[in-house]
Amino acid sequence: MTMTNDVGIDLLKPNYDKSMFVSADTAYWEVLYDDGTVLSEAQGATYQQIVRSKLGSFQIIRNGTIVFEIHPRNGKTLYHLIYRRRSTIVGGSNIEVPRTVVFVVGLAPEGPFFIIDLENDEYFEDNSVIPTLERMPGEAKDLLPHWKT
Amino acid sequence: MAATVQIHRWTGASPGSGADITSANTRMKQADNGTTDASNPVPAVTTSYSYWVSTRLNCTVTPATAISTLKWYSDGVSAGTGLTVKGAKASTGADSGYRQATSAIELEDVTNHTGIDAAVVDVASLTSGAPLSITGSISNPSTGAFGDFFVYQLFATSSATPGPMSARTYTWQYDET
Repeated sequence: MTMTNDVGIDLLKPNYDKSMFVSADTAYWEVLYDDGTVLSEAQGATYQQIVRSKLGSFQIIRNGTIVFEIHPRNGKTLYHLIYRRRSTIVGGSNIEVPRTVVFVVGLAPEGPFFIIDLENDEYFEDNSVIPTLERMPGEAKDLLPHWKT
Repeated sequence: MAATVQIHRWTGASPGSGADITSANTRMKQADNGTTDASNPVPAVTTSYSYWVSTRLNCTVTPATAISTLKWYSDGVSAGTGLTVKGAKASTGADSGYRQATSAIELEDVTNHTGIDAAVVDVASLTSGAPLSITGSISNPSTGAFGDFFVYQLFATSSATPGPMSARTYTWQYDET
């Protein structure tokens, strides 16, 4: 399978007025498996479908460029991967920033977790997000201590 | 594809899924709607109230997997001299906590709004660093209203200055996969 990119693939964008589009709307995740195959959100794959046992890396891609990538580290496999698209929306007109989207990506249980902010072209480590995460489909109960109860 | 999520304001006896206020201002006033055609009287004594404002998230394009981890917070700015906006989440009882606003009565009294889950607080205390958690989620392939309501109301005392108060921004946050 060849690597995908978002040039010429009719990437599906959310149905917002264009004033509310953000850079993250043209970004997507892709995972590389140990066997060399690829699973891509841009081709309709869902986070729930990721096979964690053979994950080699997890990438955020925009405009055909990898803007963030995480590999197994600190003795942990990507079984411990947690990914979120964290959004805010604001009521009202003439709001300077009516919508924001950042990606939250990290390794449970203690991190590191990263905030990837494409709008401001930055990413940084922020493990304070860990207690704010709720379990999503496809994630094991044992990934975070507060999910076990 | 990322989901499309809007903030809706519910009004009336048959609100459906409410009206989208994501890209429009909405008023706290002494009527059960959000249009910009009325104001709240400044009382000579005691306190006057706007009708309460019932807001909830609405998903028009389903998420690839799910949305959860809902939060609500304000810009943290006081409503102004003699003015306070207070609110609480609502999910109790019928209609997932929605109660039509039919008069300018105090939200704080749960005998008036029986859907409220907890005592109201000054929304200026709910900030991005200390947001209110809102229970609820939605999963593929569902669309429509989801999560608890956040209901708020303007309190005006005699020290308030007549005229429009400055606009405040209220934010909903959610996680999606």
